[in-house]
Amino acid sequence: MTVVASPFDPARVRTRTRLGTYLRDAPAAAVIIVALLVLVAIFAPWIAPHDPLKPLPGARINTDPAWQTGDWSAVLGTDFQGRDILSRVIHGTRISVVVGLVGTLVAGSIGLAVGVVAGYLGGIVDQILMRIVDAWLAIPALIFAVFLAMVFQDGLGIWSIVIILGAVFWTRYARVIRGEVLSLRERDFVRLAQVAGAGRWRVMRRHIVPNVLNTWMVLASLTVGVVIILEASLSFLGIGVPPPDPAWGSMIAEARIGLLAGNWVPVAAPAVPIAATVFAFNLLGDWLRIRLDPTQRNL
Amino acid sequence: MLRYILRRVVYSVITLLLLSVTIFLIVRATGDPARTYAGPEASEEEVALIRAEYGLDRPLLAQYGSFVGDIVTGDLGRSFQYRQPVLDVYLDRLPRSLLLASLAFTLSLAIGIPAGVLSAVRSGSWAARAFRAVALTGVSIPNFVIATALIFVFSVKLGWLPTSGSGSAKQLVMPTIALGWYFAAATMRLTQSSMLEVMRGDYVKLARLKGVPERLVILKHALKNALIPVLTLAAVNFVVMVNVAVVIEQIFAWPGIGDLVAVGISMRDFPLVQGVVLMAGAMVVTVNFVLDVVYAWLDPRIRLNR
Repeated sequence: MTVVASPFDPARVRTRTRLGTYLRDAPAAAVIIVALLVLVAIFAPWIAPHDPLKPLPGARINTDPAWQTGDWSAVLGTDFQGRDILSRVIHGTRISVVVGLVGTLVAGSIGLAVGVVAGYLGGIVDQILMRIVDAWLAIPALIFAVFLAMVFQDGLGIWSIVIILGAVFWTRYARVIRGEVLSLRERDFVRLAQVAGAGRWRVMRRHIVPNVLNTWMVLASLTVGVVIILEASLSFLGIGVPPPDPAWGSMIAEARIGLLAGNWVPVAAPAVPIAATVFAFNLLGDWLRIRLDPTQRNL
Repeated sequence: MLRYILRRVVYSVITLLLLSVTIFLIVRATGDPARTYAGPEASEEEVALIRAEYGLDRPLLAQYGSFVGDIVTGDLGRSFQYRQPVLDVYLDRLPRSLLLASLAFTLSLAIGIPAGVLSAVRSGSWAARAFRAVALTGVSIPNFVIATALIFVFSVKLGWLPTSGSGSAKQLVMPTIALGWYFAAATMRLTQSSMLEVMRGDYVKLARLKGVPERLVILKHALKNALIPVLTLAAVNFVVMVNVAVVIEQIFAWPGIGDLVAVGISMRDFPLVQGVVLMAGAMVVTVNFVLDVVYAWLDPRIRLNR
């Protein structure tokens, strides 16, 4: 038989949560990876040994990594245009971090607004907004993003990707947050605010939105990883961040042919950071989900 | 029950209509749909030709009318690349995609559900912890990274499997794993959280108090209910796997619908991509409708509640 932990003993309560003990230390790992990424993204031009867009002067193309050639000026070797792979990976951090965070923020903001308005106003507004959400949700994310990318061909570069990702993912927030608002709407503090004469926009802003922010945070942290993977997939397919900008996805696509000849470093160099980044955000998301809202486990 | 079904039919039709409106408006959001259809490399004459053929100079409502009319009659436009109706090309590729998706689907459930149950039931054990770590890694690695890693290990280094193509069973192994991997991990995570949710239920406690053996409590009482969200996700994911294995099919040169999209992207064949979007959306709406009806049939609370 299990012993019920005292709710006043935070350590006990935490060890009894679902993902148990291993998550207790895990956020530290996630926080370190994310912090590292953000730092690398900010200071990329100072960290990177070379220009990511220009070939190394005098260097050959597709050279092997330094531990095979002994030439430490290009630690991970050069790519098919003679550019330093390490510098490109470092600069690629900027793209993934910016796209991941801003894309999530754009999607989250639209979703929050739609979810709160639909849930709180109810009635016909809710019906219309939710049917639109249903329709948008029906299109699988990748094909939807491909479709949008083909319509808005290379309009704004990295920012059009952010907008595309926002357009693809806002529906997930809207659906969940609307559900949350439906029950919040019936709570006493909302009723009291209404009785006290607060207008509907004021109630939404002051009483509803702050109460769905926990859910929003959880959704957001779990979306970042998906958004980064989708951006990488688009770049891999050649319709993401346009060349010559060093997106991790397009770097893998470019290095794929060399893989058949056994050159795994140019593929692994961008692949490992993608996986690490997404892993860190997912870990953080899982942890937040359990800390902030135990009922949101099915997302 | 009939009333419930009718209501779901109406909802689904509305959703499909809104889906078509969405696609229709997005295509026109750039201001020049003829240019979008023709692609960036097309000449002015070609663009003008497209504009006349699709009637893109008519009023918006008239354009939408023929857009929906065409879709309903199965006319999804013509592919530039294949010089055939999009629907024909799509149906031609469908069996291959269904085959690959079925295999990946089976793999993902066969791994995901037992692993999820195990990690929920034995949540403290090291096996459960290992499963959770693998699942979290699984949803963190993009499928094209898995695919390239598989090719490197099994084709380049070991030489066991062909890098790409179709025709033999061997060529299906890596695409199946690469495609099923993510869904196996996602299925496991959902099964686990769903199981934990269900195991807290009163009827599970009652079953235990009655002295039902733990194995039966888990398999008969808990799992049955825990599987509902899992199977919902799986059904939609199947549609996704059929239509959106773009990267996997391109890497392994598997001639399915995903490969069609990849061709559409590289050849700027817009009608092709739009056709797949419409088909995928329609399939998801249909699957959701079927699921709603099946659940309502299984569980009277659902049909009486709304």
